[in-house]
Amino acid sequence: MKWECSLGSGRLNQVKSKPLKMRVFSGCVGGLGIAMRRNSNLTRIYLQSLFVILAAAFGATTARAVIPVAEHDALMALHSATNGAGWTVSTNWGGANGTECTWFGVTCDGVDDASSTTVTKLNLAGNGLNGAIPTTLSDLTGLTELYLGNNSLTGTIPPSLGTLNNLTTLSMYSNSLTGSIPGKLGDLSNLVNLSLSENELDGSIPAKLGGLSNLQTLYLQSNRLSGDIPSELAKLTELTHLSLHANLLTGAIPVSLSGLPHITWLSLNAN
Amino acid sequence: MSGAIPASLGDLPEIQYLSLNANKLSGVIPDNLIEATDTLLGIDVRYNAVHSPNTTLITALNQKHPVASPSIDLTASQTIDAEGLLVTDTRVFDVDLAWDTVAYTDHEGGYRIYLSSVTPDVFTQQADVAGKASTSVTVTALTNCTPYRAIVHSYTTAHTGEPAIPLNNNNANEVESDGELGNVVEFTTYGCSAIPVIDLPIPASSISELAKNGTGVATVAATDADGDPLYYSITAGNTGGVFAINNAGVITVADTLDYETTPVYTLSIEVSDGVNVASAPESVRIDILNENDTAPVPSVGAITEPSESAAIGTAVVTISATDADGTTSFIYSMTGTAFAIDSASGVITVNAVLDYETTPSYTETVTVSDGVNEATVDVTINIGNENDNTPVPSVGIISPPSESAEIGTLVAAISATDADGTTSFIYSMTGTAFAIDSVSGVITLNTVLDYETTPSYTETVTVSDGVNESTIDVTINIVKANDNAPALSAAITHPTENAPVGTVVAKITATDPDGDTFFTYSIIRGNDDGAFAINGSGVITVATSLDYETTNSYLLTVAVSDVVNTATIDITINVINVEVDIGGCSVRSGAAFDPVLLFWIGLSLVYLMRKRPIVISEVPPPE
Repeated sequence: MKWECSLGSGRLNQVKSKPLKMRVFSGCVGGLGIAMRRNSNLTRIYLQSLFVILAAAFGATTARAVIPVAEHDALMALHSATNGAGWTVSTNWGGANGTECTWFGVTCDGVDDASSTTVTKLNLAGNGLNGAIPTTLSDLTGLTELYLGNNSLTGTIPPSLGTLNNLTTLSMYSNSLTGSIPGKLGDLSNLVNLSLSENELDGSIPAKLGGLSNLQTLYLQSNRLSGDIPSELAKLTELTHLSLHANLLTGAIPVSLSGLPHITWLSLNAN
Repeated sequence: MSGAIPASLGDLPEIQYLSLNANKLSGVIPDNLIEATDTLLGIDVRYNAVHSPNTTLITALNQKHPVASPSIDLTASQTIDAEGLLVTDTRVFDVDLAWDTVAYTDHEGGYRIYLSSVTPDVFTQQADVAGKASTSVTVTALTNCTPYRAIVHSYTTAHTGEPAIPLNNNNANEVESDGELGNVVEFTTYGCSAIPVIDLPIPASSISELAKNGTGVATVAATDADGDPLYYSITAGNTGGVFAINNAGVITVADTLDYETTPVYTLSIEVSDGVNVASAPESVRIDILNENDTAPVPSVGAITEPSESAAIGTAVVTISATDADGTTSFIYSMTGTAFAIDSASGVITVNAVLDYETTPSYTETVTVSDGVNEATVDVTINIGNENDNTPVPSVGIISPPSESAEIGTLVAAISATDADGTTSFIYSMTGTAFAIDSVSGVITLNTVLDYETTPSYTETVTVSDGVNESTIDVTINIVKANDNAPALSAAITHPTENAPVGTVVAKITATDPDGDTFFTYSIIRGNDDGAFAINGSGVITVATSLDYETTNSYLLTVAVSDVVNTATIDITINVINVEVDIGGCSVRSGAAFDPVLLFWIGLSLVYLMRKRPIVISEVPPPE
């Protein structure tokens, strides 16, 4: 239930005027309300998770390790492209080489290793990022988790992100991303969580997403996705949450969705 | 999404939340879905066109429903959102709404409009718009100057034939939506409190009476403090409906104008915002400009019939014209060349030598132009006849008089004709031998004739028609009288018997007191056996052999005719005996001519001679 709650908090923090998103807002709040009434442990689990994440981030501030130049450049490119000067929090960003792992939202691997390290997690959710995602973000080859949700990102999703083989979480919900979902993302074989909801994505849902064999949560709601729901999604046998509501999807509900043995959340409303 | 809910969703072993609401799903909710209710924490199938007769399933679904009460009646009509709701036109008391159609594959349905005019919204249902294909409606009976919010749902008809379960309020799911799931449109009706103000005065305008429909004439300006759309109308003075005013205040021509009928209009105008009305009575003056748009009306004055002897330039008639446009000068022209018309005055004069006998009447077309329009009139001019032709005399009959004819005998008849049509003439003639009746033209004998003195007369007859006269020469030949028979004598030479045929035996000589010199001769008696023949000169010859022993004497009667009169003479021909003894036989001389043949030849000659004309003709015979 962790991811659902995280998304819920994200929605609560934003103000959207568009009627389409208001509809989702209402539906999800209703669903969340039911969930929280029926399982009061959800709140507790959420707070515990948040604490763990924050503790890890503070631990990294003491590291003095060197990351590859390409990764440094990738971070600076992101900072530049998304108006880093306007970020809500940008502690240590732009500091000397070797300090990258202390920058706000950056987590490195092997922080105890004085020689070299790599960025494994980048969490800039809800930090006022404004601009397009640089293609060079894929140079952060060691990333396992990428959180860019609840910002003002524009432009398209770089297909190059499909090369981040170690990614387990890709979260870019509640931005203003346009274009279609790159089929290349279907190459992220380790991905567990994919959240692209509440953007302005159009086109159809790539059938290649059926290749995300470890995927557990897929949030694509509140976009402008059209066409049929690809039957390939039935191959996501680990999926627990499939949220496709508030799009422009047509056609019938695939009978093959019954091949999702662990699905607990299925929202197809408002299509 | 559309189509049916797959039964396979009931097979999801761990499903907890299932949101299918607000789609276009249709058909029966699969009974299999109840299999999922064991793990389900929430399910929402509202705002689709699905239904189920399975009360157990409905109860189970309602228990998992996010809104516990009132529950959803899935057995009756379902409504779902119709998308794309738009306000297409807002007016004072009504509004036009349009939306996109919702595609149902089964069941008839329609759309249901809800309006709210208060805050917070209290939507009230308007009349249903039947028909799945409907895309618009005009909502009427609204309140002016009021803000409204509208939503639209689609609905399907009740799924009949399936058991109705009296679970809940059929309309529950409609009220619940309260616009959150449908797109809400806002509009405010017009007609707020401010009264429109018409800009006065409205300048007078003018328009040609020839202006076409749609031509702008004047503009009425008005304002409304509320910004309401304004509606303009002409309330008075628009005789014949010749003007129209649109809602921009532009007055245009709407029908045919006619200065001659109505030269000026004074219109009264009203401007309304639908509720409040401003009036400007008799505020728009429109002068119609006269145009030369009517044709002249020609009239023909008194015609002075011209004599055929009328001189060129003689006035005959005056054509005049009037024109409703007030035109006073016209241009006249006409067909033909016998007459001419003065282009300015319209006076028609003789333009050629007339001849009643050739053309007794002319019909010409006069064209009158006012410079733009023209009209024509036909003028018939009859020519007065004059006695200007001479009579033409002719000899009708002529009957040559005998010299013995009595005075008064009809001799000839003269008649005459005249191109002027004269039928009575005066006849006279030269000489005194004949007299002519001055009235009838009959010529009669007026003296005793004497052929020998004057065998032919040529006289001149004069015929007068009272003015003109002409003459003709008439030749009258006198017919000589033949009233005496010829006097006859005969010289006889008695033949011998056996005298050759052709031997002359007699010569008949004829004389005639009438002076006749041509006679016909014939032997009419005594020429038995055709012994003799007589020729055209009265010479009698032997025609056959005479035989003294048989007939020694012939008594012949000879007839001589002067064609009119016939005389006869008897002569005796003695045959002289000749005895010739040749071998004991008497030989008689043979007749040289058959007397019978000679007789017929004579008769033929007489006949032929009678065929010759003996009459007296008007042409003198050649000398």
